[in-house]
Amino acid sequence: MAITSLASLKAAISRSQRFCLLPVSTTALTGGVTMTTSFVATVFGTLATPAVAGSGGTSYSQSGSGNGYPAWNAAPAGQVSYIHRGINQYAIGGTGILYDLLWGCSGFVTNTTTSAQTVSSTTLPSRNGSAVNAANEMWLFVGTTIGVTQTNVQISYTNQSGTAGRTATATLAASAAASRIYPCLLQSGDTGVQSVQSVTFQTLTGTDGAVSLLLMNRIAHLPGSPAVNYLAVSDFASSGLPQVADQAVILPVFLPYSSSGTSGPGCAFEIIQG
Amino acid sequence: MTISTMDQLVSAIASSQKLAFYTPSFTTVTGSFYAVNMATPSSFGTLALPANASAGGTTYSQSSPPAAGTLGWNAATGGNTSYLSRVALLSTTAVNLFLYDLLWSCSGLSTANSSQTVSWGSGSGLPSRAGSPGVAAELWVFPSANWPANIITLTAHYTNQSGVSGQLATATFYSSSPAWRAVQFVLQSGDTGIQSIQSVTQNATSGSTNYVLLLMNRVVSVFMQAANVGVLLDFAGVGLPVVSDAAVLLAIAQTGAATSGNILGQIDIAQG
Repeated sequence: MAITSLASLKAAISRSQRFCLLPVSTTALTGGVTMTTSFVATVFGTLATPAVAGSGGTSYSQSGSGNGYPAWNAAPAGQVSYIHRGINQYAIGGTGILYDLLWGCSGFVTNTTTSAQTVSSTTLPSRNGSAVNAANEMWLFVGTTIGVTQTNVQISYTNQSGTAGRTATATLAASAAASRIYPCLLQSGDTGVQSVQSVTFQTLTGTDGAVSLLLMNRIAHLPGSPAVNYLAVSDFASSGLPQVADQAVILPVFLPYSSSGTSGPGCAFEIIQG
Repeated sequence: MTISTMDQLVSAIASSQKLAFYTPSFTTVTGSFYAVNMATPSSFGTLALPANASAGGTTYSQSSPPAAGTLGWNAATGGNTSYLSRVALLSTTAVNLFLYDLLWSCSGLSTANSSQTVSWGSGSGLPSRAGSPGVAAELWVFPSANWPANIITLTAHYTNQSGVSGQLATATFYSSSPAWRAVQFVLQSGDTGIQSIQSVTQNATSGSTNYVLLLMNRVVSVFMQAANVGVLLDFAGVGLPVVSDAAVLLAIAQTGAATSGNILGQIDIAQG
């Protein structure tokens, strides 16, 4: 069953589960550079850094509260969970996107080698019993600041259809700071990733930064917040009622309006079921 | 069937298909327009340049799976209609995004030639879309290399939406205009669209820069007024336009800086 009428929508809203991701740490912001604080600290605890690439990384699925993401009561049998009503609240302005973190691996170094750094295996979780490789996105997360030299990155992967030898690309900015997260561009024609084979930093960055690779599904864009302490709210129509699996590990990606301030970004959203 | 009640709308939104995309930042000229699908790689790939004007150009209809450079979705079933129900746009620079249904395009035109024929009909002409696809079509042009150091006015000779031939549309490129920068033709006064294009003439010739014509229907316009501040348009904000399941969506981006910024967007297709 799904929400199919205004009455069922209203009933679902009346039973919504609400979550507020306020910042609990101060993080220096970089205007125009996406970031996430989930691996640093959240009101829901701290998301565990994924296992290293050599051990196959970490597959993520919801496993209760206190693990760095909100956990909600699963939808009753026959019902579907949706994101409803996103709220964006920044100390300095910006916007964000809610992602479902599927898999990640860590341990990549940026100033030691320009050879391929191997990922031993990739085990993607399922969501509501279905595979998740059709339309996932690949991102690079900076755990510790890299050096002063920008580097292009190539990621070797197997695409959504099982075709190996594909290459995704990304650029890590010079002095990319901790908690920054950078999107990767898949090879033309690809829509998703089944597995990752290696990561190559084409230029040494000057200092070894700790970088992780993440595979995520995009769930919901949050409304833009154009000014300091300006709340921006989306409703069912502007959120588009994206469905979200009850196994999802919510990871917000924020885009700060400017580099002013150190207060972490925050957001809120509601889960409705019908 | 069409969406005609609030219940149908809610149901369609709750089951809408979400098409997310990402376009890495590319170099632009502030305030200029760019055909994103062809100008730069995106998460949905790069749209290949069309066939030459002498071969009739290329007519566009969605394929399954979708061709590189296009966004595809599952077609509506059971007599339902597909609608654009929501647009989300985020960029690290202020950008206006215009989403089009690309009908037809041709390449092989050159600034070296003062008059060039478009062999309309030797290709497939206008594609099949509900209604008359050319009645409100816009004609755009962009060079695939830097424009020569001369101002050149292009004149497209076309047949308008009502079948009247011999109509003229004009577009001017300024000297050394960069590659991929798109300009819209101004149709002859009173015209709203194009059924076919017969030729392109130039008021001057210079160099040998190739350029591409695009004939397309506008679907939605999204205005992002500040960098890093995303825009959400719901069904009312986008106007719930009907989108043919055969549509090949092309984005024209007008950038507010010397780079486009990293663009993260999403469009929702609701069916009912």
